[in-house]
Amino acid sequence: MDFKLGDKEQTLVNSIAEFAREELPLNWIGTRLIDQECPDFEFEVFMSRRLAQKGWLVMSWPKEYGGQGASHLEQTVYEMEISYWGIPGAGMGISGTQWVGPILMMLGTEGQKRKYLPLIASGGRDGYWCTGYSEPSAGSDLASMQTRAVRQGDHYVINGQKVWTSSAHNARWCWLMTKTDANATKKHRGLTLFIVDMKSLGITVRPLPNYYGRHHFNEVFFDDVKVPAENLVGEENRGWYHLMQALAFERRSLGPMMAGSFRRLLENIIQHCKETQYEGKPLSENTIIRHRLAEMAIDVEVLKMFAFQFTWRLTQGAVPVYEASRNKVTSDEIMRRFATSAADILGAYSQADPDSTLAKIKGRIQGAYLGFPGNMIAAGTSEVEKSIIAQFKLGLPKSY
Amino acid sequence: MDYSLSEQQEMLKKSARDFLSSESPKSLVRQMATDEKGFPPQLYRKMADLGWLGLNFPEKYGGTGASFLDLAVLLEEIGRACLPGPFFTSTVLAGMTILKLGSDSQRHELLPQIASGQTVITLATTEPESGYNPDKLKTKASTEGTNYLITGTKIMAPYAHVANFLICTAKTTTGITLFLVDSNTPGIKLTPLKTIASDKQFEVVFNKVKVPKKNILGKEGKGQAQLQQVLLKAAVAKCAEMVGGAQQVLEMTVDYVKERKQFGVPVGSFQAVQHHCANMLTDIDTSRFLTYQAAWKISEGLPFAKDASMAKAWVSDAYKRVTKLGHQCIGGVSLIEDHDMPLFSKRAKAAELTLGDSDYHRELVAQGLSL
Amino acid sequence: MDFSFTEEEEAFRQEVRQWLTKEIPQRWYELNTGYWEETDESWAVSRDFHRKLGERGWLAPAFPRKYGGAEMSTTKRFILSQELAHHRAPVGVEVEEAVNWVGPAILMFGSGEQKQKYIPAIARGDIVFCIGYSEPNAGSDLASLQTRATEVSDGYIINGQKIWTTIAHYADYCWLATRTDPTVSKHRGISMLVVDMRTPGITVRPLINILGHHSFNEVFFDDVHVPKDSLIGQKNQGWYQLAAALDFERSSFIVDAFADRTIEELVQYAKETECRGKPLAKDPLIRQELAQAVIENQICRMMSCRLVSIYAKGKHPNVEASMSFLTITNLTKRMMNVGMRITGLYGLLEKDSCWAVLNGEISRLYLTAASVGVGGGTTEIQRNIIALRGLGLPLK
Repeated sequence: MDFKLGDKEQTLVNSIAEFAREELPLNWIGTRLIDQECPDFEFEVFMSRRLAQKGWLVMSWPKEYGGQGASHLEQTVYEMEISYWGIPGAGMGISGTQWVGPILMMLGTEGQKRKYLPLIASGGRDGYWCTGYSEPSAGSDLASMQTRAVRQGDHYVINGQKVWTSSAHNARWCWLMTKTDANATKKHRGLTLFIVDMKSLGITVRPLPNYYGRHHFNEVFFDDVKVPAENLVGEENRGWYHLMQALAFERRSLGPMMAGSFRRLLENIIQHCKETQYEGKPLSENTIIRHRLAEMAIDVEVLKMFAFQFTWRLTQGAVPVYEASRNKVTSDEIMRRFATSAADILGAYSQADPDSTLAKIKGRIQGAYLGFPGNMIAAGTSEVEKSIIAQFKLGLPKSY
Repeated sequence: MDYSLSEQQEMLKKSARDFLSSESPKSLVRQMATDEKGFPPQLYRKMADLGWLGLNFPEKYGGTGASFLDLAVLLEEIGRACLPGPFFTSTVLAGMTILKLGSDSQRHELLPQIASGQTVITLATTEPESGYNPDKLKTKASTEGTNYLITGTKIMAPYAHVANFLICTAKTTTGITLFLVDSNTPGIKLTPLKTIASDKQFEVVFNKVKVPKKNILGKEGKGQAQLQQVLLKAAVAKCAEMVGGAQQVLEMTVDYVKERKQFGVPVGSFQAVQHHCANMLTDIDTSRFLTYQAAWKISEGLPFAKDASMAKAWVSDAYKRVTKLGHQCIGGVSLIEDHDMPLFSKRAKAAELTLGDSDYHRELVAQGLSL
Repeated sequence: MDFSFTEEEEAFRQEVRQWLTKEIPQRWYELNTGYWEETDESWAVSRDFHRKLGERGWLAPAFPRKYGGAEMSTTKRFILSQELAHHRAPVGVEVEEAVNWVGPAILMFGSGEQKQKYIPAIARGDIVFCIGYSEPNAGSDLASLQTRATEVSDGYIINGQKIWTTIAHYADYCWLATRTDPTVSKHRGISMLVVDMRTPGITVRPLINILGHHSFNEVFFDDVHVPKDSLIGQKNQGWYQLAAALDFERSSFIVDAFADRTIEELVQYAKETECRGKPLAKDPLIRQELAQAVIENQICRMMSCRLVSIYAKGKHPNVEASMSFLTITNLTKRMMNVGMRITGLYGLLEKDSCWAVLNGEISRLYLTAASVGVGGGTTEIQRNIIALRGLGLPLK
């Protein structure tokens, strides 16, 4: 058993810290947890390029695709540290680095790899992605999606609608799941994955402001959108299985990112407690607050341990399906507890709009507070994840 | 980064599990609750033969020389089995106290005796009004020639009735001092306390009990500060025991809900039940990781105080949650004395309160955050 | 909307208080018997007290006067129940079952003769019932019960087994759910019978509970021959009677009053006990816990009052009973947590241990808390009822 980082990883931690101090604006407190991308897109792209230049953006990819062949552990440490510092741009949208690249490396054609991987690896605007999975009628029951892709000669014609498509307004490409076989005996067996150029004719992106007025999500409408056949990823009608793999990659990164972000947020809130007086003494000397902070610290430790354990399982060659669900559910629960406790600590200030001058810690606590309900639903609701844990890990029978 | 046990640790775990499932079945555990001694001596002799009673003592003191991490692995299995008896108080608590604070001759004299099973030692340090903090300690030790005379009352001293020695804290002129008291010394009165977990706790009243100066453990007047480190390590050891218990609770629950049918289907197919089970599993993972990280740091000689408190604060609550969900999923049958579940839910409560509850440890964590 | 009691009702409360202070025997307090801890002596003392209550018409105050009740208004009945609980009177599950669950069911569904036979006897405190519902294979899925009552010319022959039957070893009668028609769907073949526990063929086998006490039992029926008039209401309509009885069961008025008293004791304890140089009552964490307990206690009371209000209008609560039942569960668990938090290590000590505090009530609470979300319908079942009947959510 061993819980320490090696020299390589420690060096990486230090390098990222240095990078952050040099590259980030003064008093930069990081992206808010509710924002899936930085509010300033230009700055985000700029940072993507810088991360690419440092060799970090796709560090765990093989060298032939522009990576460094870095280990799982280094990748995890990198994700934790950039989240800690709030460095934007690592995802290349939703998400070129986390799942699009890795899936293409796994089952893309040579042509696809040659075209898209360098775009992602370079950190440029043309490497930015959005992902089209959910539809108005297909949320948790994703396989019942309706967006149709019909083969016509050397291309497919796509009609339908996606929803909750984060960053569609900034993305160059869409990682799109469609239904290609309406007659499939099992709905999972009729789905296909495509790469769609967001500049294609027939695509309409309509902003979907969320419940606190921010624009992250969109509805994306596809009206007779023509997609070249060579944009089909993997095998026709096997898209569901590719999606499962992509989801596994998606859940992989969540753990380290949350661990890093919350480590930072904990420091922020502790600092706030030391600086803020209440009934004649700093908040940090108030018993109840001390206990809340201690609970938050333990939660942050748990996030870290879960992330590293997941990584360790990868190094063992495992496919950590259970741990992915466990980490997702736990991160969301911890975010809820943390945000709620921190909001309590902020007191009246917790109602300030994140962008208001009244907001403490640049509104990051409100961000977490407003964001956690969505997190508990997105990318697999807590209920679904717990059922997966029960059925997959504990062998309990299927339920609905 | 490595979350696995070593091959030897895996072997220890397996052999401990096999041994305990045959030698300390739940029927024995239930029996021992009403047994006067509270544990079967022949079982303890076998444990001595296996080297468990001195597992983490250095070999020169008759121990097995294993690490604290190894001890944690064994304790998980002990927690799973709900092993009755003074193992924790004697080997873990008293053993570590003597290891850390004892003089060379005290270590040479006592540790081999604990390891061989010849001697049982327990701690009698908690007082009626002192909570987990000893500032309000009332037990006094006055001098009389080359001896001390100890007068005071202690409560929650486990297995005091079978202990050959009691390690006791008392105030001398210079501060709090640790004394090794021969339990045969006149003036000691034991009264059993009836506890939920039937864990043989005692009130110990000292009435001018004569203790020779040479029986001081560690430095006079510095007892509490020295004991603090030991108590934190013991708290981590207790967490390992709790994790083992929680794991067994989950397995018991899952096995049951797969079999038990209502409305024509296994109750384990109801979402609410599945979610309870998932919550239990997550609580066990978190508890295990925090515990083992702290245990590893102790083994590696790294600073461990904050990790120890994090673990104890968390696991104290988590184990209780797991047993409650276990009862809830299994339902009526888990609420009879004959069922195994009450063994765990009662122990969960006792364990929470041993060596500092969540509130106590959260305050330590807060201090560790330099608030 | 009105949350107050009238002057007359308050005067009644005082009358009850005075009477209880005088009439509850000191021996009862010495015995310190909690729920599910009945002994022969505690049973004898309680039964004596029931008869005294019965003489005053206060044992079954809601029963019609002609059957020995007082036709007491629901509000007054509420006050009486609360005061009994607050004084920790010797009125336990045996009274709950007979007076509040079985009695009302017989009044609703029984024949004139049956009412005449049982109701006055319940009201006098002469008879108590045990409840024969659950079976080893019929817990949450109660309707799947199998204990068979086969109709014969002069009655029924009963064969089967019940489990978790509290006080079966003391009860005079069993309120028994049986299957009279195994050929129809499970809910439609159930009949409720009242069975004399002295009938040959009944075997009561003790089960020791988590507190180490004999309170509930397994009850075996081997060719138990009962007369025709054992049947309450219509044959094969028993599920509806049982469901009604369950709603009554879930309409308890007493838990918050019980908790009131415990909170008082805990507050007193916190004020008197010092830890690290100051009273526990000054510890911010303890204050928060106590405050939370008081709030949840109040919620529980308001839920009970809502039931009172429904009964007072002559209606029958269903969803509201489940909701009230849930808050009772939460309150009990909260009380357990608060008690444990405040008493610390002492909370582990059982009632006759030296150093035990508050008569060992906290350790008892800890052990019984586990059963609170299970008996009478698990919390999951209660939530299903609330979702299905209260919110109209669809059945799977």
